[in-house]
Amino acid sequence: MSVRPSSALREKADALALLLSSGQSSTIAINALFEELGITNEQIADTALHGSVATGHIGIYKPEEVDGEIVYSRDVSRKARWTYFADIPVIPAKGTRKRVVLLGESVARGFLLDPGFTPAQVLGTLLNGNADKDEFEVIDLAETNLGMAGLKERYREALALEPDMVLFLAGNNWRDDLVNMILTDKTYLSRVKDALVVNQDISSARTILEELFSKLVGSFLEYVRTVGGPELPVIFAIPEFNLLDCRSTPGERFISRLPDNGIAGWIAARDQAELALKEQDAQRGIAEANRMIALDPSHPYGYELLADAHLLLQEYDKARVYLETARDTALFCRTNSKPRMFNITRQTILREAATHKIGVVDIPEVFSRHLNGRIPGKDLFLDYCHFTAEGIQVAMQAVADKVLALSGNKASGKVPAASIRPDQEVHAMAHLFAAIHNAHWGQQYGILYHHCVKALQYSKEIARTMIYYCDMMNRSASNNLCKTLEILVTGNTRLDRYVHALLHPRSGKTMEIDLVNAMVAALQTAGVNLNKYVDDLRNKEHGVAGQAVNLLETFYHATSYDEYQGTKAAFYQARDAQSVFFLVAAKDEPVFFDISLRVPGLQEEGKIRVLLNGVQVSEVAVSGKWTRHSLTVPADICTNGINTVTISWPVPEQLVAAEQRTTADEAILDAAFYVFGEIVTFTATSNTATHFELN
Amino acid sequence: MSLNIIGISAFYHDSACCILQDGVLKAAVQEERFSRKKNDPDLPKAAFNYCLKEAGITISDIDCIAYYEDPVKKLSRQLWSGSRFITADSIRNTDHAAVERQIREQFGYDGPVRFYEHHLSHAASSYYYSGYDHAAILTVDGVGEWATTTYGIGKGAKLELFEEVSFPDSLGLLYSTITSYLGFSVNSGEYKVMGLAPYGKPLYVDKIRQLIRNGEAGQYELNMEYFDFLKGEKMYSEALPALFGLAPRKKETAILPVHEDIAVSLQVVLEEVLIEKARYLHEKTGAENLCMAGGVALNCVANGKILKSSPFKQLFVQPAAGDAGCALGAAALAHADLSGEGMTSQLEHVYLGPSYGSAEIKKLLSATSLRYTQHKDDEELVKQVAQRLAEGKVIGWFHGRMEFGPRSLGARSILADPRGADMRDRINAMVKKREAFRPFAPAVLESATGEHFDIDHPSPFMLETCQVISSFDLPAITHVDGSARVQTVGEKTNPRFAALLKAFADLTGCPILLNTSFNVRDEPIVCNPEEALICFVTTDIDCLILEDFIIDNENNDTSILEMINQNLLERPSFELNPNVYTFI
Repeated sequence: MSVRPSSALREKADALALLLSSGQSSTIAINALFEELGITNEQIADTALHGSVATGHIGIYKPEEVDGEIVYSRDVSRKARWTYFADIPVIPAKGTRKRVVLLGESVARGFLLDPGFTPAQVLGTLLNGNADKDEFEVIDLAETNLGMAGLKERYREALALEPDMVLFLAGNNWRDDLVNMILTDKTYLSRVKDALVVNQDISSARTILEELFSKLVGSFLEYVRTVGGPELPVIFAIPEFNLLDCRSTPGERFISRLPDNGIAGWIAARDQAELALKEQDAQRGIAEANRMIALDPSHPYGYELLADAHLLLQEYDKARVYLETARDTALFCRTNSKPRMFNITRQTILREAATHKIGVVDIPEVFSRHLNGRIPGKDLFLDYCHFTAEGIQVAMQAVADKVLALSGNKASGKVPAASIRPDQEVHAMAHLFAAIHNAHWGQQYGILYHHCVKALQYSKEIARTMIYYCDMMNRSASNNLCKTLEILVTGNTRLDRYVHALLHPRSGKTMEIDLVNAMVAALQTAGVNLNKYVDDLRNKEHGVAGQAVNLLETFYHATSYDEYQGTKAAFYQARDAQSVFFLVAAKDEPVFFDISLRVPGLQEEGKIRVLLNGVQVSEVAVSGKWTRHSLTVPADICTNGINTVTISWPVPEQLVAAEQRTTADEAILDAAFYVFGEIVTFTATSNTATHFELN
Repeated sequence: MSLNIIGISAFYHDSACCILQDGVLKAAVQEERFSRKKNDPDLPKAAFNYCLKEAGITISDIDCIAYYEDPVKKLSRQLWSGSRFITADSIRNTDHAAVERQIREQFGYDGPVRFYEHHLSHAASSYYYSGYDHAAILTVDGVGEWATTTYGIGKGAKLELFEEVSFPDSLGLLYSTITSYLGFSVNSGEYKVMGLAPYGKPLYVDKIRQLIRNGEAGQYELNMEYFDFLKGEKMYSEALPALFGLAPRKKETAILPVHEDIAVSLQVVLEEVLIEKARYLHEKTGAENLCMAGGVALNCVANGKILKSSPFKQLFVQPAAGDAGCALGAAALAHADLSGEGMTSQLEHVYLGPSYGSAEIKKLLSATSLRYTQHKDDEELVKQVAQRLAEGKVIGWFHGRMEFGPRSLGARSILADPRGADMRDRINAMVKKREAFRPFAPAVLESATGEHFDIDHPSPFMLETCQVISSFDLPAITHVDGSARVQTVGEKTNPRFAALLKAFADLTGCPILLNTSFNVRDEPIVCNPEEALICFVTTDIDCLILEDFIIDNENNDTSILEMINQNLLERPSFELNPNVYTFI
């Protein structure tokens, strides 16, 4: 029962509430009132953690006795997660073959090639084709999206399978575990916050983050040995990242809130570095990229441009270092960055694995040898971290060699990895979904086109899928209601596993302009001309001729599905000095805009420039207050189809440190990244009847 | 220049936003309808944007934002309550200016923000929209800041609360406690208890009376021996099962007669207390009119009894009587403060949400595989729909601006012929996917109400129950005790819905339809045409009317769309703690 607190305490509670809310109260008075109210810091037991009943499950598999033996079969009650696992209905009881249990996340699943071609299949074939004395079975328990906590759980469960060896191919999803660790420990959180926000010392913040990450990885290795017992052979295969052909996403390129005139300096250096590289001037590119890095070591783009400059000079080792550093800036959590293996994770495993008697296959090193020192890119990767068929072959060859050595077998070399190949359709679908996946995460046209062309090279049949996809993405209706999705789902059973990739976030659909254009161009190489169809559909669905279009809808400005992790406002926030919007218009038709905007914190009046297809069409006075403007774009600037509207925001000359807040975790990000401008309404139309003219 | 006031309720459950323009309610909507998170508590950003758009203004045109609660007083009650989930550090680390800061930052607003107490907002949400210029006011809910029940009076533009019952004594929490004990979720399962009550016998009235002691004037007191909600973990103590001699019902297990008996016993005691307090309020105010709001005012069975058993002549219950409606109250209070005037007219309807045009819907439908027909002639459309209803079909009805509040009133409704014996079971099982005992309500043509229902005044918001006196057998909408929660439909406020009822009457002689909310269990009511389509393809609805368009299930193979939308679509979720009324 609850005991009703004394009504006399109400006065104390009133006083304490008032003091706490006033924000300028005495700690002594507050502490005294806390004491009088009996509020202490006594921790509450987390009852939610108790009561988990051991069911004997291993992921989606439940134990069953068949003919006196325990086998594990898929549990229908866990059907929702079946597609996260391999297409294996039953894990048999252990027999005479050496049992290798493969654990890991989507890389270990062979994401995009699975189920037609997986690391486990390749490894099994290699082991049994090349071992001189033992027979092997590889139990594929890899699971898409698995983080460190889940991996530990799966490992513990998998011991019931009596493995002769456990193989981990994992680590790409561990940033989330790091973030959880920091958010659940106020000491860690305040260290990171102090470095990142209070002191604005990015180097020191990185050191703290890496120190914590290393601690986390070390604890995982220790767990593996402790739980598995002293004798269980364990191999950890360290994943690699698509360094060359996976670059930072739009969300990862948000500009930091740099003190003084740092932002202006950084933007100027970026513009100069881009120009220098366009002109193939590597030295100037290096100088400008270094300026960017000096101003903001947390931003990936400076390192990427620096790497590009070194690539121009064919200095691959230097380029690799900078691309790795660019990749690792995801530690700063600008956005929900895609999975990756961080250097600190790799180094920790390399350093500490032996202590825990864990064997290591260092795939970055394996790939480097395979490429004769060149940097891995789209040859070995389908996207940021998932291997191509060749990537799987190379990685699994190295793993097989290690397994054979650890188990006392000699490798005969009879069956080379390169001889184990997926069929053409599997290749084609993998490249198609690679194109889609890369597009969803903001990769550039070139890489999308590469995968579209590859897909068509492997299978002409994929053209039908591309046509339907182009139709679907140009509809304003959500994909889940589109006729073309129904056709795609029913027309190709191989889509099953990846059908989620055909669905966009709710209310977050984009036109995927680069991907659709890449598909249209690739289809053209296969003799299919979809240009007119796509143009007409875009116009019908999104054109400003007959309707007022809200340019703040994601269709008209988002180029990826990555999402800002800080506070989301009720309006559009520009986190770069230029905001680009897409407008579907007609040649020789004027366009009318209605826009309400402001530049937060701007003390005096400033100007924004509005450009259509790169041509300035207006200059608008702005301030720190919301102002509303009607603009007209002359007919002769518009082109048929997609036009770009660019808002060029004022760049701050001097910035003071961001206001500090003591509590909200998302406030760390809000304080760390600068907002150039905000738009609350932005509509466009060519139809005077739907245009609202301001008085 | 207009006086533009935004009203907000947020950060507990059912957040909502509304806009008053020169005292006229232009728009109001709950955030859950946009976010699709049932009971979404977050700052209503999408609802805010919608309100601005509907009023044709931008942020800089807002004169004031009115917030429905006093965060300082609420904090005081939280500190006093002694919840196990409060520690000194957790309180210290809380940003106590967060409400105003978030409003300013996330709405981009730098004008005045006014804070009004929770029950004052409830009271205003009823009185200022009632159309009365003199009324007594009764608000009853779980808890606001401190108050759980208040008594007040409204006269002209002036509203005053003169007495309150303070936390932890609360009729709302009493009801939620029994709700939890009966195996339903706190804060959302209370309707189910009300629906269960008529099946039972009041065998436990004496035991329920042991839970609450009546007090002087407007006061009453809970016997805390039976309650445990102050600790913040669960609603009832071990003494409650001991009192009833029955273990708490586990969720999703069989509902036994004893559960029905307890539900009706609770209902009886609730009505006793409310009637007595209403009589007291009448004595104090002398008013003929009574205004009610707060979650307990959604107990339409009790409302009817109050009106019958107290001296009040007229009753107005705010249709969004729960916390969402507080947004309306806060805005009205700010309007009164800034203009010195009350509201200009009675709330005649709650069609205050978004609407969607035919061009937009046609574009959507043309992207799908669905076969449809368009009927630009309203008369023809309603004839076609009435015909289908008469054939026993279940209709998804999407027309005009979405309703504000928990009830579907003919804008986002599922409709059916109320005469069919199996219609209730079919809709509960195949369409709504919910418990079999849940009753449905009727919508009746206003002009024909008296012939079929024992009620002598309009009930446009489905907030009163009355006896069914119709010559028709109406099993789908008649509760086990012969009552129904009726909605009267007038031509003025929803002409197309009224025309449909008339067309159905022309065909069948029956001017009544079963009307239930257009959603499935645990999801918010549909807001836009896409959500209506998803609900249509994933349930057993026979026909969907999207404004001028008719989509018949029998003309379409929706199996693939059903598979996609049932299995592949991620549904946002938010669930209030189902075990306890959370105060933190």
